[in-house]
Amino acid sequence: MIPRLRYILITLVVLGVLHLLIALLPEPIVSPPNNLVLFAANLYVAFCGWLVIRDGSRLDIGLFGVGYMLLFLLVLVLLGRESLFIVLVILYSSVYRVRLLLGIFIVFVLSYVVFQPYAFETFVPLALAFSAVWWVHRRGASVFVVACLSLGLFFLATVLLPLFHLLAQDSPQTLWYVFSRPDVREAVWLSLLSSALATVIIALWGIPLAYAMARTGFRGKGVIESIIDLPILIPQSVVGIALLVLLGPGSPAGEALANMGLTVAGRFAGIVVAQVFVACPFLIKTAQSAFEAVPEHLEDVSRTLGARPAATFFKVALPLASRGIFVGFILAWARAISEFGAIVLFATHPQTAPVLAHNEFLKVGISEARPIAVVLLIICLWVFILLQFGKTFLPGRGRR
Amino acid sequence: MIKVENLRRSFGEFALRVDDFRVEPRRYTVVLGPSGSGKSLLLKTLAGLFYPDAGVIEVGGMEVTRLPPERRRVGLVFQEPSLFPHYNVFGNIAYGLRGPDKSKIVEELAEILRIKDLLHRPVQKLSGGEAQKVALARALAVKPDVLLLDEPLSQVDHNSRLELQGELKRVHREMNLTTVHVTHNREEAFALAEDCAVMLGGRIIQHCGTEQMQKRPECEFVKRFLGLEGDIVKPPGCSEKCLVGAGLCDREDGTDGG
Repeated sequence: MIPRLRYILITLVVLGVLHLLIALLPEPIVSPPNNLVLFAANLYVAFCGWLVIRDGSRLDIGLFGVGYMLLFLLVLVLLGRESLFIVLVILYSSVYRVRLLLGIFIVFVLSYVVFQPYAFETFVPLALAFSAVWWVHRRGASVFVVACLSLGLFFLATVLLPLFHLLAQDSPQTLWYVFSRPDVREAVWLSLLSSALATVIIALWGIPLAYAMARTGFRGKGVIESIIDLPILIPQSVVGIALLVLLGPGSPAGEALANMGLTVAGRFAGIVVAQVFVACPFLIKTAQSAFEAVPEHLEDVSRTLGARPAATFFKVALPLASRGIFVGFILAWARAISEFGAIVLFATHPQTAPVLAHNEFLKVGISEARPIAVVLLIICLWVFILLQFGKTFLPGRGRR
Repeated sequence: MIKVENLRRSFGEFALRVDDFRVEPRRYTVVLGPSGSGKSLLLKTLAGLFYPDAGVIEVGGMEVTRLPPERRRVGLVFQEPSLFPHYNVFGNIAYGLRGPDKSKIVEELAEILRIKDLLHRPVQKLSGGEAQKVALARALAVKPDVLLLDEPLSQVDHNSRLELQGELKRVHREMNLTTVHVTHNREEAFALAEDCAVMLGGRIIQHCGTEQMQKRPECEFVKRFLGLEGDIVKPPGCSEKCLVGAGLCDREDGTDGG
């Protein structure tokens, strides 16, 4: 691990002379103590450089030098920040031989030095993306696949940049203050409750429909499948208007319901109705593919063992499709809680969280709406992550 | 016992056409035929997974033509792995059982099939042969009138196949259960069968005792398919059977027809 004496001597002499010259310049560009620290740092770089020379190819050695020069130009010459340069150069030479760390280091320099005002929101996604690409590369994926993944993840990170940026905007204190406002709490609860209720309502009729669709083939099945897709296609405002026309005040159905004491428009029920409408395709389609993945002969065996069709559904098909159905729950719930357009037209009161954020924006402006948006974002993300995690506890499909 | 009369069922292009098929009580019958000959469809029709377009099916002296599978009292073992992945071995065997005797029945069957030490294993950790034994135990647990085996040995490696063959023979001897076993493998058939039926193009072209089948194939196809030596002995007075057989076996190895 110790370089040859000759290498040590040459390095000491060259670096010593260089730093002496710097110190003796008529107008010193660095202060003497900084010069000393820089000298020490360069000695360390030289030691790491020796390790590269010992193990690496010529290309490695060249790239090591190029990297050093780039850091030098960027941080010292362009930005003129000596202490940052010292820290970065030590980090650089330490991680140079570990490619994964080197990549993250480069992402770090890019984010914190080049994209300075957006350091956090560029560093986190880019570092994650780089690690994923690195891992895939190490597992022996072809260059083409690695290239596709890099390109895709880079643009995914770009697309998600606004979200990361939003998350980095407010201090935890501000967020907590906003979250303790009663109207915000109420809106968040309302959103969570209505979307959960909407998902359950969809499940009650969507899962049986999905099962029937998975187990039968009939003329016109394709048409029904397209109809199930319709709510994905229809613009949210159109959904809101359509619901208003059918169930709003003044319409026969709306009046009839109001006479029974079941006013829908502008009530909690209205929110749920709108959410059911927009979210149902996600649960039905996911559940249908989950049921299609359950081998039919397992159900045949269950029948010959004395289980009626309904019992077979509950004992075989439903448990084996449960993981896929749960994914459908997550998607439908996510779609329901994110619904804004139809609700803002059809049921503005009580305010759900997206409607509240929108109203605050109209009333006060971006500064008030922003923390509410962040709180909503954090809560949705947490529930989403928890649900994704919960999925692993359900039975997956086994080998036999 | 099983009795099938004038059974007709079409599956698109292919048609199942069984005029008269009887399995005597407690006999081990093997239905042989090339792939696409309709033998699995016949078995599934017996199990009630398909209803016939016409004809009568009796199982255990009871007409079951229009009964759903859960009321037919048949045990079915499939070719493909068909254990329920969300139950362990015990749960699979006990699937069709109810009441306090459940674990007693499961343990008795496990004893007979020598899978007692597997009972608490997840089914993902079984070998192909072990899995088929569990599937067999599961089918036997509900005390069926007849046992239907759909190529039960075809996805099992050679050694386990010989072992399973022995188990099937022993279980049949001990439990005396009317059994219909479908296969395309003639060694397997001759090792197990008391009676043999050969199917081609959705029809049964010869059905008799195994020895008689080996000595006296009734048409060229049966002889070729079973790799037999002896002379063809056409049944006296009835030419229709032979015509069916001869008509179809003019085609190359008789694999077409569905």
